[in-house]
Amino acid sequence: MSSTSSAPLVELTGVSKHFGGVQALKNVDLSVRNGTVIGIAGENGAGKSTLLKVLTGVHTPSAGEVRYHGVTQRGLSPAVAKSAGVAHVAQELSVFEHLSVLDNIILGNAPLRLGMIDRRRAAMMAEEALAVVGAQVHVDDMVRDLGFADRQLVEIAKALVGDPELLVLDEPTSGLREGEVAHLIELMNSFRDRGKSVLFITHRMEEFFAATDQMFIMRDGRSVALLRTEETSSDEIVSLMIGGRMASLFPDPPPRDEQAPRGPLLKVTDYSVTGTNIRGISLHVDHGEILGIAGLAGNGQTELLQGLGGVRGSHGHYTVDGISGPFRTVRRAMDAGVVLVPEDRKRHGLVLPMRVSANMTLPHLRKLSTWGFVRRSEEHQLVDSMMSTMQVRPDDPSLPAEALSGGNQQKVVIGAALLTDPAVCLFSDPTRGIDVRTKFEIYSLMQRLAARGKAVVLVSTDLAEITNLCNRVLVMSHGRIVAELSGSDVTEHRITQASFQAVSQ
Amino acid sequence: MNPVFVTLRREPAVGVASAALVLLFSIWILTTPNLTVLSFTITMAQKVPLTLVAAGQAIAIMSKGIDLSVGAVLTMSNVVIAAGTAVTEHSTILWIAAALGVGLLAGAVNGLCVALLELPPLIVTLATQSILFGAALYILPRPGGVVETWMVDAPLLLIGPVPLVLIVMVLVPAMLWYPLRRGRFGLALLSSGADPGAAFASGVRVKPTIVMAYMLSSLFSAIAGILVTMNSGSGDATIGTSYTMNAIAACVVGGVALQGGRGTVSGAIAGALLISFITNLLFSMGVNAYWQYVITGIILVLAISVPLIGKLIRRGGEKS
Repeated sequence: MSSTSSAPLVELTGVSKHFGGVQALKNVDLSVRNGTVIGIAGENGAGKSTLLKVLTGVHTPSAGEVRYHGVTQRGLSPAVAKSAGVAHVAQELSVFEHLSVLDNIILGNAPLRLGMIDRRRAAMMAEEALAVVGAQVHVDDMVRDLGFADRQLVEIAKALVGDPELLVLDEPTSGLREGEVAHLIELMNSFRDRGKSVLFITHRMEEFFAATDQMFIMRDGRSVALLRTEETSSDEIVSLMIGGRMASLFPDPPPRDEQAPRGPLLKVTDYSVTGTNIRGISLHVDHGEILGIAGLAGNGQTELLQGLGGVRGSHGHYTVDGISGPFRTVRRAMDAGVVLVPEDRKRHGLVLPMRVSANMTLPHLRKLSTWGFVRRSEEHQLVDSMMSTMQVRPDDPSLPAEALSGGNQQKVVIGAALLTDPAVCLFSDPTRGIDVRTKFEIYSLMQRLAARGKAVVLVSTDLAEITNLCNRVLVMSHGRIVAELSGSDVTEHRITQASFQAVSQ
Repeated sequence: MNPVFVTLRREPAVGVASAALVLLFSIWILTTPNLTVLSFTITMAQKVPLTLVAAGQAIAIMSKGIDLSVGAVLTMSNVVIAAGTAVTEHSTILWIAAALGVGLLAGAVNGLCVALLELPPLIVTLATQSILFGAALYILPRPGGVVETWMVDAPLLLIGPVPLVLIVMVLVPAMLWYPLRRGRFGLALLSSGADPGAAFASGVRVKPTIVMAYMLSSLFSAIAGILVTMNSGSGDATIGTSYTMNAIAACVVGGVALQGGRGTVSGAIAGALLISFITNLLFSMGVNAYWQYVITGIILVLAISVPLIGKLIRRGGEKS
């Protein structure tokens, strides 16, 4: 492939992409030259991931051209892109669980000797890549034994094999811990310093400002702006992303409903969750309260909610509005008025191929049927009303859930939970990977639920969320509650302090 | 790390199957009356065809598919050799080549339908099975045909102290499969079977890999058909009917996951031998032949349950 020094590394001109009726990209132009780090920002559904996939050959564009070093690419596929020096790390990790780290890293790039894979050279290549990325895993470890953060690092290491010229990363930091994020940003900078380039998508503003030279903003499938990072601000970026100004990232809480019930609603004492290190939990949630559960990720917060919601087995004293738990199944928890919105919406929240209306009424079917037949008109009414309450876009209940963007999928999951008319709503990391506007809508919803007298429990690692929404916060560490903060103590500083506290027992 | 250890760590089921096999083999040796080199050789000769069919089936299953036509390919192989030799009398080698050709063709058809036309493997191979069994009955409506003497004598041969059939059982996979497994194809197969989309995004040529998987499956079955012809000394269009299900059972017992993307050929071979030895033991214990089916079924359920029990213990209280 001939290369002119003046031609950009990669160029997209007039690229459009549609999937059936959905127009994901509309006439997008993007030019990436050597030695630059470009951050791609936009709401969910803006087309960022699709853009990267067209660029790396995963999708073929419906219109427009993709050029590498000035040469138009026809029949671009991931294999061709990789050999041309364009490496892609997708948002949904494509690691193979039942293969080793080594196998995952060299897949598609294995060095051969006499027709068979040269394991020694492969191990060297893999170890080098892992070291660059800062991963603490061994090449013979099985990926199924690794946590999400390590898997993400393995995936990035895989992209580095073969010495690519352009790294295309889709949310590479979503599962990483602070030190690892910093290391990755360093890596991107050193990439740039060596004359190579990086394109990356993230939802975290700090990362954009720490790592990028330029910001490419997308909205509704179009490119809206290409800015120099040093010349812009997060306000400008957010307003370009959402196409307007937002007074605040967090809504003001509505006034409490006079008719709403008050007083304690959910109470557990000496509570433990099977299969985890969660022990001796005592907590209570009142009507109209938003209780936050914070702490470093992976300290039992999610599992605690799973226990309360009936997903995991649990023991201890547990009452909800007079009904005693613990609940052995989700159905029993739902019948008692406790419902959990899971954090993995694609795997645990939705049946992706099923239509939105079916997903929404799934938990509620028994009450919607007579003699095994669903009362369709009632179902339609409920779904329509919930879809407009949740403001699901596009407003079409017959679409399969997989056709919706992440934020709208989350709204469907929440809508399904709310259809069961719960008294207690447990939210597990509900705004992960969701755009600014949808986050606002979900926050507003949680506040309205509380105002109506429901009890809301929110698990999140986003401290801004916790401090802005919750009246009271419990901090967990190693499966125990180590601190309870309320009122003016609910600050990011105090929460962080408490998170690092070791469990005294 | 040593390749054997790497494999065992990746697929502990192989270790379990092999250990069970060694145990059963020892029990069989110790408890079988009148065990001579000859009777041992004949017994082993009966077991080898299933090991090869299971090996091929494992490859198809690992590609996230299944091959229901393996028994039919074996039958066609047998019928082509026996009926062909009846016609030309001495050119068995020619008919062996023809049998292998038929196998490869069937595999190619299976593979192309699954990979290019994206038809479900279950249906495609079911259809192929039907066509091949029909063709076999057409060629040889009644058992018969001719098999040359050297073929019939071959299963009894010894190379030094080792029966030739055991050498064949080791050599065929060693030459046909292990070079491929250690090359790019091995990873391509496992990744295509685990997640074809992710494999594609990693630059794996998924479709050619799948076609190759089915061709290997049929090739192994065709070779097994040659061995069956040697064992039985005649052609029989119904000879292969039990092989398909037994091969699938062997794969499951040997740790090949039916959802694809993982497993080993050595596990499948161990599984085939295991099932075979259990049948032998039941027979020598005097168990009624019909009970063998029941016992084999129970063992199959137990084999699938072992990894699940392990998972349940590890997960503690979590449900689904």
